[in-house]
Parts: sequence; structure tokens; C-alpha cells
Amino acid sequence: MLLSSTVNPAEIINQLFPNLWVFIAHVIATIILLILLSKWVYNPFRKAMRARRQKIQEMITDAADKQTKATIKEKTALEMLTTAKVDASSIISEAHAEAEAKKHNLLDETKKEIVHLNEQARKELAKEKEQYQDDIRKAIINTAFDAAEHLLEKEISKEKHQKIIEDFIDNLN
Amino acid sequence: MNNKSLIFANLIPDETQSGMGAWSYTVLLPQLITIVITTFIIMMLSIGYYKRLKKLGPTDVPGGLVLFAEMSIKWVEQQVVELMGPKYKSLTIYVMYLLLYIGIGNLMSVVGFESVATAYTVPLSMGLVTFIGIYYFGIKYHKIVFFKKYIVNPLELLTQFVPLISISFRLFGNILGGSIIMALFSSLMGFIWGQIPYIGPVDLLSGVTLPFLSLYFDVFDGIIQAYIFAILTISYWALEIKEENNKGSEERVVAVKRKPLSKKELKIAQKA
Repeated sequence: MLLSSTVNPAEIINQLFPNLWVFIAHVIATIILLILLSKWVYNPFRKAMRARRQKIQEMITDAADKQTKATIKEKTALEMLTTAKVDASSIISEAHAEAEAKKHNLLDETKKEIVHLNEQARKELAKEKEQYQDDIRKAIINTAFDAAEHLLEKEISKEKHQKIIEDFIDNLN
Repeated sequence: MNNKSLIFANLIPDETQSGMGAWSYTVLLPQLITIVITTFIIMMLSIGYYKRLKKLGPTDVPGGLVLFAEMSIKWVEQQVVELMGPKYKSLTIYVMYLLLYIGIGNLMSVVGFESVATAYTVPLSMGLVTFIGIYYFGIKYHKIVFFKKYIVNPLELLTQFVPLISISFRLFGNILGGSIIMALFSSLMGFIWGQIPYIGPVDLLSGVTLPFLSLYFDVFDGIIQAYIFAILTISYWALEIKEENNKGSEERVVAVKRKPLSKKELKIAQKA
């Protein structure tokens, strides 16, 4: 608010026309303020802005680096997971195949064993049968000899005797 | 009377004198105190900002004065860059000075001091800087062509002072006009209050009405005039730069048009 003295024409005239002291004060104030605003306000402001921008840039770069690393790690982990899955699948199928093969082998072996055992049993049976037949034949021969000796009470040749027995046995069969 | 006594004579205005007889370039005007106080306030604000800013790290969040100052500086810088280009970013300091000096200098009237702009010496001095700036940028960008307009049209010699008169008188007239209106309104309120009998010496009518007028004439008008002065200054300077830049861009367009097409380009053009 202008003071009431402003209404005084002399005062207005002096305010309108150049004044030495005001000019000197204004020039000094201008110089001081320009230096001051430059040194204490604008330059520190720009310096602070630069520092902030640099820090933000660093943070962005750091975040980008971390993201890249994370992406690489994620990719590696995914690859590892895929490989592990493939490996696991391969191991399972291999184990499955191996088990199948073993199963087949075992079955084959068992079958062979059974066949072999059967064969062996049959052979033994046949052998025992033969043995028994042989024993029976011998027993019959002996019995026949005894019977013949007793019944005929006469000497017969060995060949004739043998023939009689064999005929007897053949008749038995 | 020697030279020294000539300078220090008439330190107090002679109220008996009238017209040009009352003028003395050595009279002590009340605006002197306003200039000193304004400078002191800006100094305090700058120191306050600087000290607070020093304490802040690059990752700290600014607040209060620092935040307000940074937003304001950024805004001023943006205005300068938009009008004059990034090359003249450093002129932000001068625009900041204009805004603070005129703005705070005008706001001083709220607390009873004279506005700095009510002494025409101040707007004239700042206007002269703007005026010299116009010449500086004009000569820098247009070289000798800058003076060509005075030869073609001598009336330009008169119009060239328009920016100086316009910019300085706008500020001076607005602030002084506002002050005179305030003074007249105050007298009117006092007169009306005086007509009411048995009411006492306290002018309540002025006390109620004048703050609202002061809000407009001292605060709003004071800040607006600071903004207008600052923007006009860089606009005048930018005008000289822009004219040169526009001319340059036109030449570039012509150069691009004149560039002959290569055989390959011609074939493509024909096929198209």
C-alpha cells in the first residue's frame, strides 16, 4: 500500500524520474542477488538434480541388471527343470524297460527251468521205470529160473533157458 | 557548492516545490529501504534453501522450502527453455531474480513499505537490461541485417523504444496505480466513516474493506506484474532468436526440396 505521502505531487515527480540512490541500491542489489542466486540457489539445485538423476539412473541400471540376471537364472532354472524332467522321464522309461527285460528274462529262465526240470523228471522217471522194469525182469528171470528148475528139474542149456525167459517176459508185456 | 555537496543536497523532498521543480535525483526515497529489505529476504531464503539442500542426499525426499523452491526453479527453467531454448537455460537465474525481486519487492507494500516498482528508476533499470538484451540477441543472430529495418523504414527508430517504455511503465503504472487507488479508497472510507456521528476515531470501515483491496492490488497484482515482466523479458529476447531459427528452418526445407533423387529412388518413384 502506498503511503499517503504518495498523493503529494512532489513525491510522485521524484518517484517517476530517475533517482541516484535508488539506482545505486538497485544495481548493488541486482549484483548481489544474481551472484547469490547463482551460487546458493541455481547451481546447487542443478548439482542436486544431476546427483539425483545419476542416482536414479544407477538404480534403474542396477534394477535392469538384476532383472537380466534374474531372467537368465529363471531361464537356466527352466532349462534345468526341463532337462531334469527329460532325464527323469528317460530314467523311468529305462528302468521300466530294464524291469520289463528282467521280467522277461526271469520268466524265460523260469520257463526253461521248468522245462528242464520236467525233462529231468521225465528222464528220471523213464530211468526209474527202466530200472524197475530191469529189476522186475531180473526178479522174474530169477523166479523163472527157480520155477523152471523146480518144474522141469532137468538141465537145459543156457541159451535155451535165456530164450524161454525172454519169451515169457515178452508175453508179459 | 562542489560536486560532493551536489550529490548529497536535497536528501529530503521539498514539499514547497511543485512540477519539475520538485524533482531532485538525490532525494532519499522510501523505496531504498524496500530494496534493502527485499534483498535481505531473498538472501535469507537462498541461504535457507542452500542449507537445507546440503543436508539432503540424492535419495532423500525433499520437503517444505526445498520442495517448493525446486518446483519453482524447475518451472522457471521450463519457461526459459520453452521460450528461448535449452542453450539459454542459464538465463533462469536472471528470470528467478526478476520474479523474486519484483514479487517480494511488491509484496512489501502489504506490511506498509513502498513497493520497489513505485520508484520508476527500478522498472526503468530492469527494462533497460531487457532493451539491451534485445539488441544483444538481435545483433548476435541477425548480424548487420538487424539494422537493415531502420534503413528501410526510419520509423522503426521510434518503435524500437516501445519495448522499453511498455515493459517499464506497465510495471510502474500498475503498482503505482494500485497504490493510488488504495490511498484514494482509504481516504473515501475515512470520509464516509467521518460522516457517522459519535462513532469514535477508529476507522472500522477501512479496516474491513481495505484488506480485500490490498489482497488484489498488493498481493495478486504484485505477483502477476512480476510474472508478466519476467515473461515479457524472455519473450522479447526469444523473438530475436526465433526469427533467426525460423529462417534457418525454412532454408533447410528448401535445401531438402532441392536435393536431386538418386537413380534407385527415381525407379522406385516411377514404379509407385
